[in-house]
Amino acid sequence: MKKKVLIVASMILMALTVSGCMKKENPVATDSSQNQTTKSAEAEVTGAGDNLDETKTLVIAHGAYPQTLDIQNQSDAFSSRPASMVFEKLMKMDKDGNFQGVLAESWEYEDDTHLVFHLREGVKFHNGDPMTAEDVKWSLIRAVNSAHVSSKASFINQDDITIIDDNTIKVGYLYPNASAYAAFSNAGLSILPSKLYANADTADISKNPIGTGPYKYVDCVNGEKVTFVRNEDYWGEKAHIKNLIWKTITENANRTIELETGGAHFSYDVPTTDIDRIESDDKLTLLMGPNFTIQYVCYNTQKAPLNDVKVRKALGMAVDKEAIKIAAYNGLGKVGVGPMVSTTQYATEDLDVAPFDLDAAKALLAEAGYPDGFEIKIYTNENQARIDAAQVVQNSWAKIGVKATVTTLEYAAYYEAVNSGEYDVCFFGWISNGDPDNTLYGLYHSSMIGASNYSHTNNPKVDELLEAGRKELDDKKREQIYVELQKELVDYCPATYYWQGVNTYAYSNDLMPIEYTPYDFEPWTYEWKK
Amino acid sequence: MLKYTLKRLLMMIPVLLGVSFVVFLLMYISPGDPAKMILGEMAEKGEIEALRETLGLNAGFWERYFNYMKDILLYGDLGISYVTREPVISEVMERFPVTLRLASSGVLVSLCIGVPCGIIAATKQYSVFDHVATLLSLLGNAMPAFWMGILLILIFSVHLGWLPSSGYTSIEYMILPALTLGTSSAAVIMRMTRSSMLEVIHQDYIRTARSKGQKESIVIYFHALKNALIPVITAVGLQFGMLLGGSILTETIFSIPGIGKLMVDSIKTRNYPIVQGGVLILAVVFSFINLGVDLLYAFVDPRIKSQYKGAKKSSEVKEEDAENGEEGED
Repeated sequence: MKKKVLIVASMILMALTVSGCMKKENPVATDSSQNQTTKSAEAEVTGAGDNLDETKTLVIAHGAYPQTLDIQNQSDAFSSRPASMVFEKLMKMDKDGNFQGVLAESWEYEDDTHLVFHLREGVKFHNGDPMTAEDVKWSLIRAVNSAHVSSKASFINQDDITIIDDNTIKVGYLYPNASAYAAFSNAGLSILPSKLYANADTADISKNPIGTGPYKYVDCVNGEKVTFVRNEDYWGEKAHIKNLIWKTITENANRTIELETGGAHFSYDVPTTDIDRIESDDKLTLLMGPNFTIQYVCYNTQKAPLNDVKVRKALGMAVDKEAIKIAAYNGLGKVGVGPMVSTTQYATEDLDVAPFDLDAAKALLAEAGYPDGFEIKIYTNENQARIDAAQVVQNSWAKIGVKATVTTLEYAAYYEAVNSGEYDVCFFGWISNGDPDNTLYGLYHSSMIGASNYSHTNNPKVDELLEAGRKELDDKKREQIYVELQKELVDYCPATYYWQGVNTYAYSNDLMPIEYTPYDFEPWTYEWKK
Repeated sequence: MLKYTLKRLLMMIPVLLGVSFVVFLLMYISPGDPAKMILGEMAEKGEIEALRETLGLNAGFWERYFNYMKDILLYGDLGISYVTREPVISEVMERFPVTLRLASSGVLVSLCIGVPCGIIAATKQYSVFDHVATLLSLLGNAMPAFWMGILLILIFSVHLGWLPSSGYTSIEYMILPALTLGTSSAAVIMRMTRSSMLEVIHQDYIRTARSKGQKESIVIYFHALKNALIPVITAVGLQFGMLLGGSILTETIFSIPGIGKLMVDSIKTRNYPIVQGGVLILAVVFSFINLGVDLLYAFVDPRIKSQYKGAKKSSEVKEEDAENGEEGED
């Protein structure tokens, strides 16, 4: 009898474990007013109605769950994208690369190192507190001191921020910075409520993100999704679609499947292998366009034989960029030319980049003293496109006598090997925000050796031009500096730039047509087809 | 039995201490900088250094291990995630029930398929069913979970539209993941049940039961199966433990935020506290599963139960004999 009872109890326990109780969802708000709004928002997520914008939830699929919703302590797009539903910046770049005011209505320079912002009036945080210059000052200082975004905010002099009145603030710089507008457009310099978060840490803010944005945070299911609802008190044009979910689907192919089955309505990062399938599906639309990514073969400029510029140029001439584009990227994107992609400000393709020519490469190698070639090590990480590119390069170089062994390392081990300088050649990519300083400084300034200067470039002329370009406020002079810098980098040849990236997104045709932009998409502008 | 159970619980302590040391050491000597991984490819040197200081990564191995163990033993604190800054225990325990649900459903599927098929294959040895079942078990074992999961999604979600392709919030979401996990485990269970049953049904007591006119179903399910269960219980326990820690591929395919995915992502980002805490929690759970399996043996086989209770000491036996002897002389 006892045994039978135990058998039955075990089966019940197993069944309970399988069916489980309702999952525990993260607690949402900490103050009572937010609690009320949140409860009604939760009820409305499942509410009924005739208008699709009010009743049908928009589901956006992307590849990883946000590490945090504290927008000033994130380093990846998977965190900044959903967090940008809640938080806003002082300004933004529009689809043409021009700066438009968001929380700042206008601004002007008082002198080279002082910028005065006139803040938009009547803006409130989601908890009802008005946004003032005090919040802007607190947020900028917090960004300067954040390990994740301080590189974008490091030009700001946190001891020289002056509140003129509730809607006017003067921000002092440590040096003139031509990229300041690009920095103020970065998600990491978003404005947070200083009173609410005065004593909060990252975890607190992530659990209860309160901003001025077009969407309010509702709740999240850790690892699965984050839910938002429209901010009915938004200062600008309210979001069309009331309810929004950012859903995490890590497997690339599954994001496409979710689009096909209606489980998602917009997907980031569609795999290139699914492009034909999406284009042939009349329920879906593919969005594709150039982004700010450059992929390059990076040479260790401090290690023989690659410390000889002739060797680097010879190797560069033997990189078959067209073959890489086909093998690694299914023919998508554009072959790289110089260190800046064509969408970047001041990018030029009028550069003396030698075309693919194995005979010329072999001759240049012989001139450098290596008529029989040599052996080198290529390191790459687990990114499949980079592995494919490395194999194409290995084959090409074998034809000019350079025997390359390709070693694939896990990401963390890869960075350590590259930063320690033990590699000869490695494969990297760089995603910029379209600003030339953001595109080049981190990769080529000597102060960044051991961080993001993976080629260990230590060139005084390059340093000088980078520093000048950062501080030059005159547009024409700045352009001259960066054109000269691109030519200098091509001549010095720390890398061979083989591919300019494309973004591939897809959305359901239940939505009104969406225009491609290389900048952040704005889901609050989306609407369902009537 | 209580003594045995307590002894096993005490033995867990040195095991867990060993696990914590080995994991801590492995993470310490692994190449890679957690600060760099958290901040990304474009991080500046100053940012990386500042974060290393904040996370205490510049201290030596023994200082860090001592502080880590002190927090665990004195405060039960497994530390804070480098990435989310949330307590490790809440990060892990939020995911653990999801994986538990996934693993349990996988084991349930494997039992429902594996045990009956194993019994039928054994009782009808060399029949068509036996050959088909053997072939299917080989296929089930050989098919990678990744491939199986995508195939099930294509058939049941995309083409038939019967089941969702991702998520885990209700029973219908768990069907495809459970089938993915359960199929390869079912193959193992089926083979184990078959071979164990074959050994038992040729025993004398089975022949005796049959010759006494006992119903065949009673002979198989009451007499034979019970005696054949020990290896099957072992296999189920091992499978359950493996599924708890090793369902990463299934979790990725079906976008289930379980502990496997958390652990792999944390290893990639060198999120030491999550890896260390997660492995420790899994070690505790695995130890309890092993204990549960051993106690189940006692439940199934009385001979094992008596072994756990232990033989009487020889001195006690001599005393008893002497008492019996004195009584006898009267």
